[in-house]
Amino acid sequence: MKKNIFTMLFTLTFLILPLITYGSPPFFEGKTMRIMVGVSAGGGFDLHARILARHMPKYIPGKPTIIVENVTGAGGLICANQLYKAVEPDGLTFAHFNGGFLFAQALEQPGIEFDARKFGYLGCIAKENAVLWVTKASGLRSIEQLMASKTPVKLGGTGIGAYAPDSIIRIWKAVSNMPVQLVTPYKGGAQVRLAAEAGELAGSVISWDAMKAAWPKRFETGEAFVLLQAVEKPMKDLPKVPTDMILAKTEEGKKLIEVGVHLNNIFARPFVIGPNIPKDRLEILKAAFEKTMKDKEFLAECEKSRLPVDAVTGDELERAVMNAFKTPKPILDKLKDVIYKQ
Amino acid sequence: MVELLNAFISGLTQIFTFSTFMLMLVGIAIGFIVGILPGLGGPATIALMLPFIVKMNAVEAFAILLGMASVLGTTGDITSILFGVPGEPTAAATILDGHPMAKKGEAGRALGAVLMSSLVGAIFGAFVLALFVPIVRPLVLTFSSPELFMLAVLGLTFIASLSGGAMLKALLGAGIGLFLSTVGMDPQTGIQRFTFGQVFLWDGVGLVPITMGFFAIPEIIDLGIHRSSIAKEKVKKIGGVIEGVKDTFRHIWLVIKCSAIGTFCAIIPGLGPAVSQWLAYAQAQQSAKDKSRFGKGAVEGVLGPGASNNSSMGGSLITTVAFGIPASVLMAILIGAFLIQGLVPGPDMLIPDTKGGHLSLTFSFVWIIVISNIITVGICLLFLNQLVKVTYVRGSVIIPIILLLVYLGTFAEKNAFPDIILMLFFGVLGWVMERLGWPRPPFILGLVLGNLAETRLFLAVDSYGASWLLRPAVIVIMALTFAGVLIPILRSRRKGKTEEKEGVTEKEQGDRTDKKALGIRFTWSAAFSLFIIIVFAWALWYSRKFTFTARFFPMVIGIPVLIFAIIQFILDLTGKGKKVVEEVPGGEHEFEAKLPQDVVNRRTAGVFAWTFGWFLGIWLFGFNLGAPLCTFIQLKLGEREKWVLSLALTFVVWAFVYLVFDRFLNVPFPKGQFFLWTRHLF
Repeated sequence: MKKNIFTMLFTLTFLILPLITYGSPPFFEGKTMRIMVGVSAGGGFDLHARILARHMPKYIPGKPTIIVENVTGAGGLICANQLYKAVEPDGLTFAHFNGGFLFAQALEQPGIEFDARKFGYLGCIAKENAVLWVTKASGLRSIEQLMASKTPVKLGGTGIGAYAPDSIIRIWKAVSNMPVQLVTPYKGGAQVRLAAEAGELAGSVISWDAMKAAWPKRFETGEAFVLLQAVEKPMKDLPKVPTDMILAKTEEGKKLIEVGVHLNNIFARPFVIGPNIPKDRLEILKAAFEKTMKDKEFLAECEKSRLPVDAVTGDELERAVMNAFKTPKPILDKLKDVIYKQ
Repeated sequence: MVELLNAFISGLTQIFTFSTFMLMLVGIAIGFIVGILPGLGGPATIALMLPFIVKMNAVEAFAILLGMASVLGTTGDITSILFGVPGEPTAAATILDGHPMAKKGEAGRALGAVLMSSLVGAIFGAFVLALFVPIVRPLVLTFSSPELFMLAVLGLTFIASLSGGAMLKALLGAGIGLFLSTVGMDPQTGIQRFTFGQVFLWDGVGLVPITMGFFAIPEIIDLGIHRSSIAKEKVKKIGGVIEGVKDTFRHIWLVIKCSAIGTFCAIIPGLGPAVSQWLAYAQAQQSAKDKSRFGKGAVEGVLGPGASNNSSMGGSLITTVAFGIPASVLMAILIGAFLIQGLVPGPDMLIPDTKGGHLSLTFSFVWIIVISNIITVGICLLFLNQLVKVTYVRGSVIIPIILLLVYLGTFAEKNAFPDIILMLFFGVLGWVMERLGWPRPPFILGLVLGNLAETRLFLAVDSYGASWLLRPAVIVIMALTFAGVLIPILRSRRKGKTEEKEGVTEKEQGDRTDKKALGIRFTWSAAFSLFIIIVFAWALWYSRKFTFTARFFPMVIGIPVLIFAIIQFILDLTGKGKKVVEEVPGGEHEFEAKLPQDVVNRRTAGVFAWTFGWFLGIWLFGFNLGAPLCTFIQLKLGEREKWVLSLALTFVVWAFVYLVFDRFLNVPFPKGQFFLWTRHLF
């Protein structure tokens, strides 16, 4: 009997002692976290979140389980609104939706029920990095040829307010009188590519990574060409393709491209968390996100799926969003006109 | 050619490795477990499987996913037939004749027919996929925006066959459906059309809440009025499963034709099974000698949609594999699987492996579809006779279960609570339409074709100006459209003349409607027509604020609808509109005639009250508590069932909702309002 009590005391000491010395177990331990994805399952957007959900737990103390839940509707706006209004501020739920809605708030668009300045920002796995591409059949080989075209060049869009193609094409047209005709709305990038293949369109403006994944050989074999890139500095594998800054002739034009195209590019695919999250939890998640971006298995899995990794940290992302809101009013008004007016 | 054959055979042998075959069986098993639950259907489950396939090789990954998908296509039909609840929006056409067959006690036969025709369809679609490999790319590229618009118009001509004789009402219904497709944010102009500031309406009205409401709610009410089991008669031999299998081969030509329709529609981006099921149903009706049997349990009406649904799997894989264009959510997830496997949908998938392509993988898809369908149908046939017994369970017990399936199915498609409200609205609308002899299929057909027609018309004009009208394929489809409209008119004229000679009286039909008419002159029919007039007059007035492009389609559809509605109203007022009421779905009111009117009214009110009571329960207490609570209250207090039965069923419902949906599938149920109100108390 005595021996038993002794054993019990011994065991208890060794069970309880670690708890006392190391404090209470980490908050995330044994918890299930959710990533709400604003689009339906299957696309690159959704897959990024799913791969993240597999690897991020390693870097969160307590190794929670992360599940992905598709909250679709209104292009992701329902997801963004829900994150702001209806999610418990416990740090267990974050979201991945079209970052264009964050800018849409700065442009006073309807339907927005959140304040982007109050969200928490974890980071981005990739930027959009869009390019203007055309098919061989269009006959166009350079941006100069396109600018000199007598008839409008038909470029496909996927609907008003879509960062790429629609908004970028509208901004370019506004700053340079580019002879292009935006034919819209096709249901998604795949339909645009199909219409271009069928000769209905000359091309479009779509993420370079998505184009490389969908048409892996055509840009090498000369069946399609990249004429212009919608980024600040040329991308590594497109060193000779001009950036869209060459279109801007005035200071205002430069500013429109800077804000409407390049700044938006940074927060096009954000991972966002709701407002009023306890600061320590937010910091844990931000750090975990950043570490995951360098995780070997995570990178290998993205590469196998041909998904881009061009990470943005939480702080960079937050700065970009705040900068969008600090843009001078005349520029925002002009962008509102260019992007949304008929 | 030899290379093609080699790849074809290699595709088959790849499946018969141990791990691949086992994974296919696992996929089939999972498909069975979730496929039988309406609405939850494939997408959610297949998305759940995505993380698991990272470590598999390509054939294994697709064995499990396609195996699962094949079952889901088949099982959706089962709830349609047994309960009148569409397992998926693509299984709605199966209800029209499948459920009446179940009511006649022929559920076994209907299930046998739908399964066998599904199998034939699936195999047909799969082999078309295989045969089309060399020509699929040029074929699909023929269909640009102008052709796609014309195909949508051609599809609309099938309204005539779906009218059940009530032509004006069918046109009106299709017009309303087309108009409803404009609800949402117009992607071209960004203008909110008829969304009333509700973000959940930006994408328009979903197909699941509409088909659920339209078909399931009237069936529940019907069941509540009769208070009997679903099957109202016991049929011995002819109701058997084997009979249904035999039916498939009796009408094998129809089954093949409908398989072709399903495959073709699936190849064309934007059409797909949501459309082809109705075209197949119309085809079944057209080719039958005695059209009056349709809607009352004609087996052809089950065979057609059954075949076309499953054949669409092969068809939609064609566009998925060759272009990376997903024809459905399910296919979008399969593309995700392609990505995870590092594969690129596109020309490479159609090039033999010896030349650096993945043709044998593509062919393995064909074999997976064929084999998993054979296994699925085999298993189903074994258990069908057990399933059929459900139609003999008494109504009081079965109604709560059906209500649960309807509410869960509607919610789980998009995890959106507002869809439930839409479902109730369309449930009431569908019930009114059914009662007043308005055919519902044209409405759905208009709805599913509206978007395609509108966007492709604008894209065609934007890209080609007026010259799109002169494209050869457009002219061919246009000729087909005219033929499709004119031939039935001419045929019916000729038939009309002979019928006049034979002296077929329309008086009988007229008499039947008189029973339904509750007023003297200003009947319920007239009231409903007036309602349509008011709604459309308002909608047209409202759309005046839109820009030209956003207004164009609503105007072009809305004005004729308004005119037709006025004509219908006048016909209703004068009593002339009553001649034609032979509706396509559900001509089963013969039972009701035996019940006194006040009993019918009282029971209708009762079953409506339960339906809305469930809504209230779920809204107040969430699914986890609300659904079991409603089940218990309805069984014990409403129907005065025994304690044991009430408690047992309540437990089953709770386990189903909480364990399967909440815990296992992680369906994010919204919290009950009651708990939100009282949050600060706990």
